[in-house]
Amino acid sequence: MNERDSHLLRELAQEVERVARGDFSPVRLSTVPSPEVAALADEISMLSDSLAETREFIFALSQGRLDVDPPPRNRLIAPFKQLQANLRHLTWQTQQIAAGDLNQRVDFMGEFSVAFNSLIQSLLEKRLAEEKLRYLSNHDPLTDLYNRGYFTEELERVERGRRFPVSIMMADLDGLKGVNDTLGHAAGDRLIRQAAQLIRHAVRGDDVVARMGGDEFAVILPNTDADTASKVCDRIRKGEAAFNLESSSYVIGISIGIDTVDRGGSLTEALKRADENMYREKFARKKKQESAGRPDS
Amino acid sequence: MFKEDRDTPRFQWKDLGDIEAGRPNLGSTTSVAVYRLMQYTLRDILIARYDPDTASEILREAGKLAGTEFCRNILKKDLDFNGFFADLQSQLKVFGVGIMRMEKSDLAGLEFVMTVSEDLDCSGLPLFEETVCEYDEGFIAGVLTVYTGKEFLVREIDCWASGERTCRFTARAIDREAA
Ligand SMILES: [Zn+2]
Repeated sequence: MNERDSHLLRELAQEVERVARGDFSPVRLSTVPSPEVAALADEISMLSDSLAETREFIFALSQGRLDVDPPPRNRLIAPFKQLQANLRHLTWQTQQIAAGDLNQRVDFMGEFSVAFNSLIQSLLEKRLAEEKLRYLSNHDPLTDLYNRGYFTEELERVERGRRFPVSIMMADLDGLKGVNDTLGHAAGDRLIRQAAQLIRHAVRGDDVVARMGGDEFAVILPNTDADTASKVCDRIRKGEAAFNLESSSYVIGISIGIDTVDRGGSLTEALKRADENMYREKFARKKKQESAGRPDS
Repeated sequence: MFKEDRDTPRFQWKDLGDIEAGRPNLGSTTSVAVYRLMQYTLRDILIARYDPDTASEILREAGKLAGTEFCRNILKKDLDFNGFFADLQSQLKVFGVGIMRMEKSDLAGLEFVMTVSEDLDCSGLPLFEETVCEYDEGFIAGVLTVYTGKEFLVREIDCWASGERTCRFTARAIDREAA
C-alpha cells in the first residue's frame, strides 16, 4: 500500500467514526483515491445515507407518530418496521375496543399484552355487571317479566312511535289470596310464575309483558288491532284450560281486559279502559261462578 | 373430473379429498419447503412459458379461487366484521398461513390495510426488490368478496421479499357486485 492510500484510509477511519457519532454528511477525502479506496469510500457513503434516511422514521416512531412510513427497501431498520406494524395494529385494536368490541386481545407486546388484556377483562366484567344491573332494574325477579317502571317507559315510547294500532291488555289472577292462605306463599309464587309463563307464550317475542305488582299483569301489543288482540286473549284462555286439566293442586283463572287505540290515541287512557274492562270481566266471572255453585231452585 | 377442458374455474373445497383418510400415517400437514417448491417452480415455468405479468395474474386468480373456497368452507360468515376478522386471523394461524393483523379498517368505504407476518409464501425468502405475494393478494380478495358480496382489489405494498419483514396489503372494494 502506498503512502497516499494509507493516508486516505486513516481519513476514512475518521469518517466512519463521524458516521458512528450520528453525523451523516457526505464522505469527503482530501485527495483523489485509488479505485480500491474509492470503492470503500462509496460503501461507507451508502451506509451513511441508509442511516440518514432512517433517522426521520425512527424519530417519528419514538414520538408515537405512526403515520410516517419507513424508508422503502432499507434493511437496517427491519425490527423497527415490525414494531411500527405492531403499534399500528394495537392502535386499530384500541379503536375497535373504544367502539365496543371487547373481544380484542393482544399477544405480541410482552408484559404490555398481559396488562392490556387484563384491562379488557375488567372492562368486560364491568359491562356484564352493568348489563345485570340494567336487567334487574327492568325486570320483575319472580317472573322475569318486565316490571312496572319499564312498562311505563315503554308505554310512552310506543305512544310516540308508529306501530299503531296498539292494543293494551290488563290481566289479573283470580284466587291468588286463596292459594296463599290455604297452600302457602311458595304455592302462590308458583301460581304467579305459571300465569306469567302462560301470558308470555300467548304473545309475540317483541310484545312487552310486565308484572305490574301482586297478581296484576299488563301487555303492550304494538301493530295489533282489536281482532288480533282478542285472538291473543283466546290463546291465553286455551293455555289456562290446558293447565287446569293437568293441575291437581290449584287452578289458574285470569281475568282479561283489552283496549285498542289508533294513531294519536293515548295509551295511558287505553290502559285505564283495559283495566276497567278487566274488572268488568272479573265481576262477570265471579257472578257466573257463584250461580254455577248455587243449586238450581 | 380434474382434467376436463373448461372456460371457468370449477374447483371446490371437496376436491381436496379426504386427507385424513388418505394419509393415516403422514397426517394432514407438510413442510413449508414443499409448499414453496410447488409455488416457485410453478411460477418459474409460468414465466418461462408466458411472461412475468401473466404468471402473476395466474397466481393471483388461483389465490382468489382458494380464498373463495376457504371462506365458504372454513370461516364463520354470519359474524359482524370484527368477529369475522378474528375468525380469519385464527384460522390462518391454525392452517399455518401467517399471522394476520389489521392496521386500518373503513367499513363504510370497504377499505382495509392489513399485514401478514411469518407469511407462508415469502417470509425468509432471499431479498429481491419486488413483492411476490400475488397468490396472497388473490386469497384475501376472495375471502373479502365472499364475506361482503363486493369485488375487491388487493395489492401487496410491502413484502418480506422486498426487504420489509412484514407483508402489507391494501384492500379496496371496487364498484362491482361479485359475480
Ligand atoms: Zn409477501
